[in-house]
Amino acid sequence: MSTIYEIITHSTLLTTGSDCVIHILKTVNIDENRDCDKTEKKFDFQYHRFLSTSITTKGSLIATTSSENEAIATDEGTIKIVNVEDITEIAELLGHRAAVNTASTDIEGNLRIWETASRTCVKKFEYLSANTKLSKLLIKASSPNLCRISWNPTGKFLAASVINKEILIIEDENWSEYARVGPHSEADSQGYLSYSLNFIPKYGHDKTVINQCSYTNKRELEISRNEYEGNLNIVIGEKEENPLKSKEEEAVKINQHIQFLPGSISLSDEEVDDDNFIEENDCDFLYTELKYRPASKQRVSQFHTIKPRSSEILNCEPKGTENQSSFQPGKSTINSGRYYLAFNLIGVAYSVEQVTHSTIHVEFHDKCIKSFRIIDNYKYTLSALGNSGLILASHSNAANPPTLFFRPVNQHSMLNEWLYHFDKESGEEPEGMMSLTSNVVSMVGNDHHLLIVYHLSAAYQDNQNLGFILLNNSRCCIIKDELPISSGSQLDWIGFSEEGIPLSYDSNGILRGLIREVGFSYWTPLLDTSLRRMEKEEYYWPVGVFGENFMTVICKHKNDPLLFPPPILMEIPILLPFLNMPLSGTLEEKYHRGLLLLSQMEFLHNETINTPNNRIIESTFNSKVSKMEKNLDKIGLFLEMATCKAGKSQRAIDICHTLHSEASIDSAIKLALHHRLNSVADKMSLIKKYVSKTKFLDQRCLNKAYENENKTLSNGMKIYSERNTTTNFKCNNSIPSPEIGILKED
Amino acid sequence: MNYVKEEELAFLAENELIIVAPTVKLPILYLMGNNYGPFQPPLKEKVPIWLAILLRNRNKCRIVPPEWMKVEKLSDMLTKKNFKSLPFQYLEISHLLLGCATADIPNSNTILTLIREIYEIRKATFRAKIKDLNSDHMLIEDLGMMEINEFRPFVTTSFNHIRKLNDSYKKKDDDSDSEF
Repeated sequence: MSTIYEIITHSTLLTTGSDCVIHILKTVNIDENRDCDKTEKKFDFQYHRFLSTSITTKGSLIATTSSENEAIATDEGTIKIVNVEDITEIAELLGHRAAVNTASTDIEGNLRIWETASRTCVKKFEYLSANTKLSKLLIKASSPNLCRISWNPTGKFLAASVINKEILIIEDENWSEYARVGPHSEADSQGYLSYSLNFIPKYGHDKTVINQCSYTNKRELEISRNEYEGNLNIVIGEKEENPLKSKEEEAVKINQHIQFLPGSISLSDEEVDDDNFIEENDCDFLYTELKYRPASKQRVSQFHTIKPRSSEILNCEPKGTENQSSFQPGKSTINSGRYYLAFNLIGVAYSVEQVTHSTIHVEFHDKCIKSFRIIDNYKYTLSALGNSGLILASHSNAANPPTLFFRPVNQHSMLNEWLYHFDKESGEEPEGMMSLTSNVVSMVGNDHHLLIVYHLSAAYQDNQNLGFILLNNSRCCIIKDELPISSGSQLDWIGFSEEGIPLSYDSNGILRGLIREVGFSYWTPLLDTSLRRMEKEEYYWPVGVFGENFMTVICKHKNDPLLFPPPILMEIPILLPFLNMPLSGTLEEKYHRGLLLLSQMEFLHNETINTPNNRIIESTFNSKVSKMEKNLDKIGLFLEMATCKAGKSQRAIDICHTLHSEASIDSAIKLALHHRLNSVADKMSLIKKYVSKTKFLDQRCLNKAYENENKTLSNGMKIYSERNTTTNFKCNNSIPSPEIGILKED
Repeated sequence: MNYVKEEELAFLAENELIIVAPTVKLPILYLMGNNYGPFQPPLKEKVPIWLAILLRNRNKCRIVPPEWMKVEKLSDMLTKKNFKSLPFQYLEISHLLLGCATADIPNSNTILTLIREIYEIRKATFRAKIKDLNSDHMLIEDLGMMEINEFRPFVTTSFNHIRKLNDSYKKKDDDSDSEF
């Protein structure tokens, strides 16, 4: 028996040996019902034919992409292509000058790629020195005998081992370098491309399989180190789309059967044991007994997942998540040349494509404001519609630099229309710059604030890692923090509610609002639309939040183009997603929601009010607040009733703290006494005493005084008010308490 | 007989609330009965029908048809002869809304025909149940205000006549008893 030099598999099995005979074996009788492990297949080989060649030294075989022909390298400098079926058909490929070691590389280190159909050399890579700075391929056999190449069976990629102990992957498009893999520790090593280009295991003289993950696709595949114990452990990661689209399992399977042979299979010049044999072990694998005899019967385990030894992991890429792309809130997808540029609670702006230009139509929900059209020559793609006007922006294109255009709502307003080009000739100087850790995802603004959302870092393991900055009118940064969204989701929309609460809506259907307190802020979920949607295939396209209603347009999918004319908005009432809550909500939730929104309203009002002495704004705001407080107190008293009945004294006291008027606290005390919770009633009266000193300085009373100032009554009497601080009312705010007197007019 | 005219019934029905989508921004309307608003497009508001018609005639709002005023629901009611979900003043309301806001209500012609059919069917049911009329009561379910108004003269007069007849029979029996 002669030494088997190489085994190639395709539809047939080819073996070459030192007897200069090539055996061609065909697989027949694939018996799967045998009583063996299902992971293995037993093949019976039928001796097909053989041919002898003039291979005097170690020749080698290469498999071509078609299964019919096999090419045989000879040391005469030619490559012969032999049709496997009809062995008489031989074609020769000339070109190599030196002895051919593999079919395409020769001792000098030139690589040629042959096209078998026309039998011509498609590409020749010549040996280049290691010092070249150009990105040309560097191929030199690390040792003349051991320059190995391997084709990916789909024919698209080729791997070749290179001088600096790397493996070069060449793609077939234009025979250019696709990737480099390595370096590995041993000079003499060879790689085989897996079926799917997903992993390249390498063997070295130290009989280890070096971990290698996919270099080209973001797959999570780790091959653990083989400590020559005979177990090859493969950790398969998640499947992802790869350009070659093959199955992971098949790849491993194929490779395991043939190529994952433990031990070295280097074909070296060293002494070869004469006692060569082909041994079939229990697993029915064929392997060669060359230089090293395996210590024990080998078994290749499939899908045996263990934790790889971390020190040996090279080039391991974790599960990749793409950073989400930037978006403009309110922009829809294109539907036959039309799409919405902006769609919010103020109005809509949509673009209609015409032959040479586009027309942008702007319509407002309030029909008092006249709608208008803009001729778009700059191909505006971004826009924002506000109370004062519409701003449009375009990217740079062949004809124009990036452009900004503003059109006021009312032509007769104080504001003027303007156009700004971002080029060198514009004379404007920027006012400032801000560095961000990664690209901006979206921006939205209202009358007082600007919200910017950006990536804090690269997306990792389904987490987009978003952060936000909230700026105010004077461009001061108020808050800079993380923006939490549901795990595995992306940000779909950001905006401000009518009261000014910053909002975010993610692809899982959860609406979150930013709750701000003095010195602290947090995002809280306000609405979970998936509860409402249930099993239906619907997407709630967000438009805005007004009061306690989330205004949306219902469509089938996220990227559904919206209809024209503007569709009817649907109102979804905000419902804080408490645990174990029925769809209609509970009283507790309503109370908590009311308190939350009221606190935000007051906070934002205090922050944004420009003229604190503008009494009209103050009085309307205060009347609104007092109405809300009254409603909330009613709900609070209902809750008190329930808690006193249930005997939950601590909860009753907590609710009492949140009541807004003295009358409500009195009612709460009465309820507690009625239910015989005397201790609770005592505590409530303490609360009342404390709070009356600080909280219940009745603002409404003060405002009424301001309104009545200098008012002349019908009987000729005049009311005046005098600003006077008194010691009885110690209040936290700076507005002093007035004294009202009536003067009789002379 | 006290007749209530149809116009008067329509006037009474105008107090019912319907949902309206304002197209113009309006502040709170402080009216004698109640305060309505503020009207902020595109949010919807609940207002009485008379106010809705007033605003609609001035193109300041768009009327949202009520739940029951849809082709599928009305045809469903017709086939199943189940009129429980119809409001008490359905005829008046539909007459008012269809007269004023035909453009806002989809398939207004179909709805008009369906409502007329419902009305005819109810009338036929009433006629069938006349034989159940006795001196004490007459049971008919799911009547609308207009229908009651239409049947009232007939039913009340019939009740009176039947009672008189019954009384006279009773008297006659008493008389005949007393003879012995």
